[in-house]
Amino acid sequence: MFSYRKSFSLLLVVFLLTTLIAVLPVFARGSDDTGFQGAVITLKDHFDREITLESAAMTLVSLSPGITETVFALGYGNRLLGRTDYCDYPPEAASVPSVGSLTEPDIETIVAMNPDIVIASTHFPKEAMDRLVAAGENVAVLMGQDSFQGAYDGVIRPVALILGDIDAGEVLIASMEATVDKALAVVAGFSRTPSVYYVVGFGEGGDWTAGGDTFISEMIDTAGGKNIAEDISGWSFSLEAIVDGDPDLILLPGWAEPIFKTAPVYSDLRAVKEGHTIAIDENAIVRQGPRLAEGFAGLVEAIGSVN
Amino acid sequence: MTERKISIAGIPVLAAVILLAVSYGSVRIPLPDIISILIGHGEGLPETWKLILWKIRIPRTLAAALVGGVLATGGVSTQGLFRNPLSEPYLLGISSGAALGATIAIVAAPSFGSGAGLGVIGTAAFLGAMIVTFTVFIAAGKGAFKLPSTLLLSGIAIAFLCQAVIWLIMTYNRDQVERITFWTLGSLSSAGWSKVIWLTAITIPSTIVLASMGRVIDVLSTGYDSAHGLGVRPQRSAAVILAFTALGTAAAVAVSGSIGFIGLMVPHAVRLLGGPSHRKLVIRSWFGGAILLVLADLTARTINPPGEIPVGIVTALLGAPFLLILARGKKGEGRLDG
Amino acid sequence: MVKNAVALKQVTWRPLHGSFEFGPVSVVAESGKFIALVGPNGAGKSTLLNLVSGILSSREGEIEISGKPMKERSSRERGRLMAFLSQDPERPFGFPVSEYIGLGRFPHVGPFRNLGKKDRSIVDAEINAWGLSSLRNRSVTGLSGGEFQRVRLARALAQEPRILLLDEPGNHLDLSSRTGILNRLKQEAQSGRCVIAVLHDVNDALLYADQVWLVAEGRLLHTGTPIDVLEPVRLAEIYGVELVPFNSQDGLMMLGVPSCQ
Repeated sequence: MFSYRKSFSLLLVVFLLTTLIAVLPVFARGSDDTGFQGAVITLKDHFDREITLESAAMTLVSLSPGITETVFALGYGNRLLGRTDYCDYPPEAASVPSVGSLTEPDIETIVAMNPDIVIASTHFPKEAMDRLVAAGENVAVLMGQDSFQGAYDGVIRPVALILGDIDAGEVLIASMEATVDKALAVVAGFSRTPSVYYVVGFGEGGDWTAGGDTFISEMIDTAGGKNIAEDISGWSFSLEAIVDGDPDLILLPGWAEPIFKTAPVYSDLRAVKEGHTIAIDENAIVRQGPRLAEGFAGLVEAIGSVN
Repeated sequence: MTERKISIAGIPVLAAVILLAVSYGSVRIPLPDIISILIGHGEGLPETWKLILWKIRIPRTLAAALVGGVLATGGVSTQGLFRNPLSEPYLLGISSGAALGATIAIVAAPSFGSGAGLGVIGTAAFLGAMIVTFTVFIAAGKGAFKLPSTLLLSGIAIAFLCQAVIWLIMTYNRDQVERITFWTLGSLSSAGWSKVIWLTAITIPSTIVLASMGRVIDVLSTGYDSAHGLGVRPQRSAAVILAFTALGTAAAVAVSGSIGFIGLMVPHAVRLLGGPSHRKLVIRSWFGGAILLVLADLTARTINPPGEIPVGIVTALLGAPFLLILARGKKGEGRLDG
Repeated sequence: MVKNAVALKQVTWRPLHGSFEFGPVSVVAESGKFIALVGPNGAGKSTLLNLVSGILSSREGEIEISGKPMKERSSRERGRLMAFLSQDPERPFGFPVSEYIGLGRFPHVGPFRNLGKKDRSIVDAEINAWGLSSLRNRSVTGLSGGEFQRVRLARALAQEPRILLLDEPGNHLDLSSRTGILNRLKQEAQSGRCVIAVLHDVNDALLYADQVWLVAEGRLLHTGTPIDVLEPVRLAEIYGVELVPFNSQDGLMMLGVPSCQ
């Protein structure tokens, strides 16, 4: 005899059971590489996860352009088994096979490569991390604070440690510091502080720049310029504000320069009319890696040109 | 008599609203200075202010008025023609076609195309809109102008198809997803003088044609057979009305993305104020839409300076409660026909 | 006033799909007559009406309206001469009754001009004639079936047509409304208009019509006075139902269906 109450209760029970089954894996802890006696390399990554390696990593997959650049700069590019589509520097990185995009790395490919460790940085989705860990991979997420020190301590030193060559890391950092110091000396000699506008995006998609709370803005400041967007936080700006800010110098990514200079209203900006627009490699500034110092030096050079 | 007052009130209200919109922005310029610059006595005032006023705020506000106006008139004609109070011009596939065109342009030419005229994205959007609308008409077959529902169904089907293609493109171009989404939400941030001229050239004639066919829309809304009996040629007239509606709407969407709710809301609001006769409804709705979008755009760019929220969000936030109030009727009894 | 308001000469028609054949039909409708189109469902009555109104184009043959072939008349002219009331009315939303009736003046006023004094007085006259004064400002969507039908008729008459074409004008209406409408139509015919109406009820035809056109299976079987055409035997053949005539005191014949046995 059909009864609404009975069938409803049955449905409820089935529902609860399936939910329970779906949720169970959360409670099961995957067996990790815990308790290796005599582990040579231990470190904590950005999320405070304990990473342990028996010995220096001989093979690795990089899931971040900054990490790729760091590995190559330290001289161990030959140990890279895989990289992301966005890892475009140095040119030698092209010969390393790609494992997908920054946000959607191909887990199966990575696992098949069987690296000693997978190193990721910003934009690494937790999903990908969980899947890699579940597949038994060593994963380290290395990021530093938004500063030079953050790049040194959060990225370069740990990568050097993982590679088993701490000295190489120190040498790299020393050379970076030297570049920075040299640039700072130039800044000290500036006769004025020009106003700067840094273009992240413009045109139909809206105007985007580096607000006062960003590292880029800080760098501009340190490099002797005054970011016209320093009063805003975040990245959203407006064309009116650019016009009103009347910057002395405009910094843009390379692909944007020709379009910006001929676009309506943008082409009327004083900086454009006076020829004070400079294309810079934004990757050198944005990526936490070995090129940060030369990126900064590039900023100083640009700002120096309107001094 | 109130009807006449409403018609005449349109022009000064629009002018006042435009002045208001031009006075505000992410940069503070005092009103007296604005007026001096406008009448040409702006010596001594910063050049940057003149640049902001003449090259940013004024063209943008005018574009908002033109886009809002034509979207509202499109709402009037589709609601009348399809005899459906929920119709809006996007149902013909115009916005999906424009979105598809824009998506393809964004993905194929990643540099921001804010060049002369419409720009790469705008042109692609306009072409997309016209091509898809044309497809909708063809796909509806011979019955396109015989039965309104045929065209509507065809439009909905093709809109779904376009959306599927857009999603497919987005899947393989993750880095452009944000740009595509923002375009679809609707924004007037890239409206310069060349776009204003282009919009004027297309939407004003389109609106004039629709206004002159206002009574024909009335007659058509009584049914095609009945319209025939009143001496109208229903299929031919419907085709003309829809063609000009599509043209005007496509022009608007190409410039500003698909800004929603105006085509739906404004005709109802104007009907509430002054009656349903389409002859006057078209012109009044044009003013209503223009005023509304100018104000919405003003809100979108001043609510969180110097940032902007897409204007489509403002119109949606306004539109939803308005529609609910309308649907509930004066005493909560529910009616949507004034 | 032209004697023959409508003339059909060897008119045939067939739909794009299907095997229905209409015609050839040759018949004239005189001004000042109330003509009832009678026949079973699917016989072609609406087809005939649609052909006369111009909604359908004939395949062969010619249709003349007020002496001139249909093809030579512009759609505006057509609208000034003929008013058409279809079977299934659409109700536009947000239209008050007075405006709806005002649309009847469209063929005369055109798309641009405002309604003038003459137009308004015609509209008002129709509103009063059909007892719609209290409903002037009501939206047509809120009217009952009978009220809306009267509004539609008012609109048709506001057109000042010489020819009135109506497809089942008494549909959905109760007896009193139907009677009122049929009476008015007869009056209109008497004042010189040509009224052609599809009537479902043969009794209505007997009572009100001057002429009956009997249509069955796409052919015009018979034309003539109601008494001549609506013979019980002939009707029984066409409808497949037995009919019994009886006379009332006025001498009119009413055909009734015998009760079940």
